[in-house]
This record gives sequence, structure tokens and C-alpha cells, in this order.
Amino acid sequence: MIHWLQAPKSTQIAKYVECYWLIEKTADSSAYQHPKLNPDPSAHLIISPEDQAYHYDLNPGIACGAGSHWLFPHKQTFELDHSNAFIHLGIKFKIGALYSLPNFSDDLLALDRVELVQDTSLFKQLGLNDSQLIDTARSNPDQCCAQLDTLLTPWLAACSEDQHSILTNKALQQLNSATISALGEQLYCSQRTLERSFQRVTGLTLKQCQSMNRLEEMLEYLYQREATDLDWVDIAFKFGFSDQPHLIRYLKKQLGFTPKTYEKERGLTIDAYGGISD
Amino acid sequence: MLNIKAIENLEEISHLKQAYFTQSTAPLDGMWHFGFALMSAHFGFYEQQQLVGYCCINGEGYMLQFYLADDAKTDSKQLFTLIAEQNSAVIGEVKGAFVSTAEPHYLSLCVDQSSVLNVNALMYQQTKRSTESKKNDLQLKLAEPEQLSAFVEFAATNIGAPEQWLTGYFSNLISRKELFGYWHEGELLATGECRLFDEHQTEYADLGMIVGQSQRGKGIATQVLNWLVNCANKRGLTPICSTESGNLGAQKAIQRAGLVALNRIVQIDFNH
Repeated sequence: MIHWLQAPKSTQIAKYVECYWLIEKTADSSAYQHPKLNPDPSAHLIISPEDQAYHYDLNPGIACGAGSHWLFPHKQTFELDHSNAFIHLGIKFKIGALYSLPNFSDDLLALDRVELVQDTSLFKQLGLNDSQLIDTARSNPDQCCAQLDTLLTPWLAACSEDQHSILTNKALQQLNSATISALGEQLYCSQRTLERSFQRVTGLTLKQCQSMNRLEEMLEYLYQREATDLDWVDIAFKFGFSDQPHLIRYLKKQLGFTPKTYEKERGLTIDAYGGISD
Repeated sequence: MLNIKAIENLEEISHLKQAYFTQSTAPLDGMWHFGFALMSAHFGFYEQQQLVGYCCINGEGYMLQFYLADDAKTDSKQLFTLIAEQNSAVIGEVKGAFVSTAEPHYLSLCVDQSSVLNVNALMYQQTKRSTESKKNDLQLKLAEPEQLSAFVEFAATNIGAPEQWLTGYFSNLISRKELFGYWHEGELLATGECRLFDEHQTEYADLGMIVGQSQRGKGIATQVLNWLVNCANKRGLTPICSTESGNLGAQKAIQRAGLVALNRIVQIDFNH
């Protein structure tokens, strides 16, 4: 398993792109074959060789196809099929970024979906050369990121902000530390206006987005520690999940009773997709 | 944010214990709350270094007390559920709880988690004092220090408790002048205890009694209890006592002595 993760260098790109990431599983790897992909409020554009199949269990439903594809923000936990060798070069967008992008899809707020991107007008417009990008990603991550910055610049230069996205961006900056019911007042607007704008831009409610962020934060914390070092009462209160004993039970089961190697491999996969840095 | 830490010195939580006893709807059992609880491991609940509650767990993994102050920010049901589901590395395994119906908040939290519930003991208290003390042929005498071994031997024979424990227990009661004996022709036939509380529920006296096996079925227990009830009442105290749910003989005697079984101690096993 090879992987890296880097933020864009260009500040213009960084406004909309969280990071670029690469994950590769070679044929001889014994990595866990069906890792789970945790809920993620961000969209990913995943660049893959055109003949490389993908398979997502969307819970419910499945999405399969081949080549590059969009992975839209998802509230569901997806299960991946990683039984064969694969390579993915990903572009992780910031939460709500798709709303500001020039129109590329019929449904801007698609949630819980995977969509083929190969042969679409966007793909051609961007001039993405998957095999060349992937080769560079393997050999020279810095150069690959610079290339992606360059490729994305004309597209993202055409982004536009409106009142909804401006308000949503302000809310996102405070969401992790704020009490949701106090957020409207902090941003000088009614709670109703804020909720509507936020939903319009991200497809999610403030509460959903906050929970997803906290879950990601909690998983990052969990993966950095040995299962025996975890105090679940501390974790539940630290990440605001003390009211969800079923979630704690679920995670404890996932982490507590699995061999160490499984955890590590499984963790890596989720690290890359979920954008957890280490 | 809440943290749980072991409590080394019980004085740290004395104000919380005080609040716990104040919340109870009836006097709590002496043996459980002043004996077993004090020997249990205590854990404090802290919000930003501020102590807001505690619980204690006995050596067998059963919780005996749980308290969270009203002004704590933490939700008591959330915290209790997390602990009951063995999520605290500090506290460790929690199999279940012993709780009485006189601790309604703690009881509610336990019932939420219960898979099995069994009545362990009945809790009695005097509800009204008789205007005149009951007529009593039988007289008990205060135990003297030199009688310690006689009391220990008597109790070891009749209830099978370990002598070492009894020696400590009785010598403490003798020094506090809370142990009495019913003697006949130089033989100890029954013992009685009228234990006072040093803190909390100090308006009550906790009664205890052992009747020799050969003397049972003669009404001695009722008379010993009557004497102990009078002893408490003379000091202006309300007598309480408890007995195991299977001990029907003791239950009859306690009822005849005018005490009422208003509450229960229940053993609850958690459902995990």
C-alpha cells in the first residue's frame, strides 16, 4: 500500500480543494479487501486508469463502473471492493465547494452517489490525462500536485460565490467549536436563513455536517492509538457522541476485536479517502 | 467534556456523599452504605477539573452508589449508560448494581440498563412510635470489652461469619457501646446491636440481632427487637433495619416489633 496526501500549493485552488491524495494497492498486498468508507461531507474527484473497475456498496444500492469517477458527499457508510489491485489519485474538495463550481452536473447536491466522469464534457474540458497523471503521482508527488494545480486553475477561476456560499463558508469555519443553535446569532442572521443557505450549498444540515466532522476527528484520534489505550467515556464526551451509545458499541467492536494488522490496513484506506493526515 | 478519575481520599467527596444521602427518600441501609460502600473503589466525575459527581464499585464489579450534581452539565443517563457499557478504562468492568428504592434517581438509571432484577433485602423503619414502651420481660446488657471473645464465638457458631472479621466488628461496637447481649444462666443466647450514625441520617439508629440457633421459634427475636426499638426511641432516634428477602423468620419478628418494610434493596444485572 502506497499513499500520500498533500494540500494544493496555489491559494486560489486551496479555496476549493482540501487536498490531493494517492492510494495504491499492489497485487501482492494482503490489505483488507472490503474496507468501510465513513460518512464524508466532502466530494472527491477520483482519477483512475480507464479500465480499472470500481465497486461501491452504497448501503442501499451499489455503484460500479470503470475509470475516473465522482464520489459525492455521503451520509451513509460505503463499503469498498478492494479485492483487486488498484490505484486512485483523488482530489478532495472542500465542503460545499461544488456549489460554487461552474455547472458540471445536473444535480449539484447529489448525496450518497458515485458517478462516472470519464468521457464527460468536464473531463475533456479539463484535459485530464489519467495515465500520465498517475505515473507522475507514483514517481513525484510534488510534481503531480503542481500539475493538478495548473489543470484546475482555469476551471476554479470561473467559480462564483453568492450570499449562500459566503454564509456557509463562515458557518463552516466555526462549526466544529460552535453550538449550532447559537451559530445564527454569531453570524448576524436568523437561524432559519443559516440552515437554508447551508443546506442549499452543502446538501447537509448543520447538525449532519458537524457530526460527520466529529466522527472523522474521532476516527483520526482512534487510529493513532492502541485499542488498549482507549478510554471510551473520554472519547464519547471529547467528540460529542455521549448521546450515541450504539456508535460507541459499534466502533468498539470494530477496533477492539480485530487483529492489529487488519486495523492498520483498514485505517490506511480510510485515511486516504477520508483525508486524515498522519 | 467529562473525565473520570479514581478517588484516593474519600474526604474529597464528602460534600457529594452528603448530597447523596439528602436526596434519598428514606434512611439508607447501614451495612451497605457505611460498610460495603466505604470499602469500595470510588471514582470522581470531573467537568473542567471541577468535581461534579462520583460512583463506587465493589470488589465484585457491582455499583453501590452513583451521584451527579444537579448543576453538572453532563447528562446523567448518558454518563451512566457509558459506564454501564464498560466504556471507562478507569472504572473497568461493571456487572450490575445494588440499589434501593429509597434512591429513586440511581434506581431509575439502573433500571434503564437492567436485564435481571432480584430483591436482595427488605428495608424497615419505624413509622410511628408507640406512646408507651413495649412491655418486655427480656433484658439485654451492654457488652463489656472482656466479653468480646464470647460474642465472637457466639456469632461464628450461629451465623458462620469469619472470626477475624467478627473480632474487629464487635470490638468496634463494644467501644461505641452499641452491642448488647441477652444472657441466661451465664450463657449468651442472643445479641442485639443499636448502631448510631456519625454522619448523614443521624436521626436514625440501625438495629441488628442474632438469636442462637437452639433458641429460635420461641419469640426471643421479637423481644430482643422490642428492647432495641425502645433503646433507640429513648435516645430520640427512629429505628431502622434490614433483612434478606429469604429470611422469613426475621421478617415476621421485625413486623411484630412495629417496623414497616417501606423499601427494598435490589440487585440489578446490566444487559451487556
